[in-house]
Amino acid sequence: MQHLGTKVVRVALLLSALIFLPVVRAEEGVTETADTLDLVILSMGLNILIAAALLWFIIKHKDNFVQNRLFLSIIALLFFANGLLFAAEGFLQLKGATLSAQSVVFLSMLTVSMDFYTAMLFPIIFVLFPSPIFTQRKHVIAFGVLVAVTYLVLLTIGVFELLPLAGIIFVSNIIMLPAFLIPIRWYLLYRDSPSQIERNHAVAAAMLGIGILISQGMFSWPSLFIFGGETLVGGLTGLTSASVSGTVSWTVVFNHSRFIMTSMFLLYIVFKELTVSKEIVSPPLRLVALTVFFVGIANAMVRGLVDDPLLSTLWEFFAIRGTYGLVRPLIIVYLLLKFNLINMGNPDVRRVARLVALVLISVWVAMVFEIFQAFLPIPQLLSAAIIGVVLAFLIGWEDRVFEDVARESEDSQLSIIDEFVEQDDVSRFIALGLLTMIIGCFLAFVISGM
Amino acid sequence: MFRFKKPDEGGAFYQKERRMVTFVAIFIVILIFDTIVLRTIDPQRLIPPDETSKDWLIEISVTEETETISEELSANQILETTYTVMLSENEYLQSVSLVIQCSDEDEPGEGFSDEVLARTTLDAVDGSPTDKEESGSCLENTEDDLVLSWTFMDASSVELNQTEKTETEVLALFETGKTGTGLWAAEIELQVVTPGGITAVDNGEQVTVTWIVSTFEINLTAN
Repeated sequence: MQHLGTKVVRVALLLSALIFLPVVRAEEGVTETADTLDLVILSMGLNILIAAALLWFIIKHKDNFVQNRLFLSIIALLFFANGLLFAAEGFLQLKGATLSAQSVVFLSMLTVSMDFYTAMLFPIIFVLFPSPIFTQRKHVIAFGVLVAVTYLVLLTIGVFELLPLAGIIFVSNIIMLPAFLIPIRWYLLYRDSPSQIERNHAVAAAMLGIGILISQGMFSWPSLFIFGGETLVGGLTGLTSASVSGTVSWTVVFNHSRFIMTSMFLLYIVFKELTVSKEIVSPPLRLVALTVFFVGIANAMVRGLVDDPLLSTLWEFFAIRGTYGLVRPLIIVYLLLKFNLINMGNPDVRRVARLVALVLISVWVAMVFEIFQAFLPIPQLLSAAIIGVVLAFLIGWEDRVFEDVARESEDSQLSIIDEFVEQDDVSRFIALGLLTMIIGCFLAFVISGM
Repeated sequence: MFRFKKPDEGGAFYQKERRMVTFVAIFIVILIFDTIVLRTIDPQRLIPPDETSKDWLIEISVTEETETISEELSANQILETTYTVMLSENEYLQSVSLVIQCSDEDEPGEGFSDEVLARTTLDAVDGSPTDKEESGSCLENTEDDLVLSWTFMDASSVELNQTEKTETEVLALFETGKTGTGLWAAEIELQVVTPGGITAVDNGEQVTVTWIVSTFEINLTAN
């Protein structure tokens, strides 16, 4: 009975993989295949699902360590904001042509404010995981409030154009860059430590670092070696002023500084994971780092070689929005399972976690094939059949992978700081986060003039 | 902060934090390098051309630049003059004219008629415009005695509303206006014609040479 829900979902997914997907996809045209709308909707669903599952873990299972619950609450807010962002973007793509000008401005501003909201959550995430930087309650609360106030102040300044965009990016970088250094420092200090628990922190920090910072230009690492990063400039807002003034704007330059730090972090992880002694190697981290590394090369090649606007759009989605819509959930779910952040000993939690993992696999297979389909001239019916077969195999295989990842072992221990905040502080943080998010949405509403 | 609690092994800050110091130092070096590169690079290299077909409204603003030199030339003396034509990114060359004026005001009478001879050297000019050699009389009370002109692109010949064209296709309409840059050189020689005799007092003229360069800039607006 306990596994009935899981079994139902598995059967449903298998049926959809083997019957519904081939039929639906076979009717799609090539143009529709390259459309990013379905990927946006997939990302929205995935992010909201994970946010809801995490909130359920936090609220329902208070026996978990407060340190873990606090981290999960921030991650839940991150996914919820991303879900809202994708919802606004999807709605804009779907109904944009029939909406009023104010509604379009509102939805566009909503995506901007949610994008900035998620970015401002990064410092809190890095402060809390793999082990809290602040061990006193007052410091944690002060930091959380400071980040929320900074977000609202910078968003207000941005929305009402009280400062040029370059100024806002410069100020936010003063917050972001030191925050990015936190996982970097964990990794640099402890990756080859003789202590297993210290190495665990380094691996967890690197995995989290890639999961979070992948959206901050990690795929663009080859540009560090090509013309000082000029390929990063394309598509940024600074380019408009660049074409007028004759020079690349400071907005672009300041924005680029974050990309340099994340790219350096990636390259160091790749180097370290390839050279670290065999006994302490972390195969998952090495796999993830190398994958991001090679996708970076593919990214440079696609940008340089592909002229087809449809393919470029699809790739752009994967290389930019897909990083936080699809790649980040995968890495974060891995972290939750690997380091037992959701108290996997509880059978209820285990069941829900497995459901999330199943959905994650299904969405990923659909996304990967969506992209392959656009690049490779495979007939729709054939690719649909391949999706069905792959999904069927993965869903059978998922059980073993899930058990392997979730198994408690020496390399999954992190240090726990007892009661550094109160249990009720978790819900206070969630409330503060949601309130800040709502004010961000309200500012988008104000600027739209509705 | 975020060091595991263990006995302080001592040592200088750099030794304890050498990896972080090295990381941050490399970051700063790359940041400075990239900042310099990004701020000095031509942004046009970074902007992919818009290849979607649109309706365009073209605005044209014409500018005329002149440069004048004036010298008293004696008989058969040569005046050498040069002018460098340069165009900015959005600028196109419409025409180049060389206007020579020499008012023969000291002619004592019939039989005296001064002339100017103009020869151009345009080897260093892009697009190889034809060299010209022409002469003209220095007539009294006339403004232009000799005018040499080269037309590259007539801006008014382009329809200002272009439909269903890409930006590249619209810019291609003005392609010929991108030639004509470089060093324009000319020699102006004064030829004094007198009937001879002791009454011949005509020994030279004031010659004024003016380069007139007409350029235009275009502004494209997609409708």
